[in-house]
Amino acid sequence: MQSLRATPNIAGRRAIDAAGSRTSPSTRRAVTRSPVKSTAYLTVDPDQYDPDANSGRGSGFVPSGAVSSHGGGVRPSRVTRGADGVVYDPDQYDADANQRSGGDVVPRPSGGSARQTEGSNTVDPRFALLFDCDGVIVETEELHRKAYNASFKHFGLTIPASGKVEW
Amino acid sequence: MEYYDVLANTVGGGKPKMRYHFDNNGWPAFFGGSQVPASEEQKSAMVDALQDQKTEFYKEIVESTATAR
Repeated sequence: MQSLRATPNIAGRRAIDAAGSRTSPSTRRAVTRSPVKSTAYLTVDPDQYDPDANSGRGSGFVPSGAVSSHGGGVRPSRVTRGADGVVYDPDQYDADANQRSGGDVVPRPSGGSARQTEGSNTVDPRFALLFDCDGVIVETEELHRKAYNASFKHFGLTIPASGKVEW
Repeated sequence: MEYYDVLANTVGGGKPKMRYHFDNNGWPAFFGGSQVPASEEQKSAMVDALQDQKTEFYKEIVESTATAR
């Protein structure tokens, strides 16, 4: 399979061939100096540009080189990888989330060119999205049990053979 | 408390929990009566009513007593 990076040459050659079919040999040389510009090799598809996706936010992706050399508008990544191999995104550091049960707050890790003074990037603090399963934030099983018993009591639930229903 | 632990780890879902309990211990009657549900429709109606009321109590309990771990 042909490398994507070879594409500009192919595009250029095609342009030359096309030009050559309708130009004289003297002008053909001039055309070879200005091949058709191809964007097929770019790492960012401008039609699908997503600043978050392209800066590695949230994906753990750390760009290895100068991704923005093509001028596609990719902003410099603030995602860095620490010496311990842990990917650190300063835009996603949240002191609350890093507070341990003993009260200690795990400090924002240092890393590369990240701006150390900037915290949450929350735009509208009135809204948040929480991911939770039963028992993670609140131990709910006991509350469910009490609610069932309250409902049983509310309806005076009685099994004729054994009496009141209580869990 | 121990019985509910068993129930919680045996049957998933509130209505199935009640059905499981009533199938194993006998179906109950409302308000201390003797009229127990006989048909599937009556059993479903009872379980639905119990679950709806349980949800109301649960919301009150969560708002009044639940604390984050």
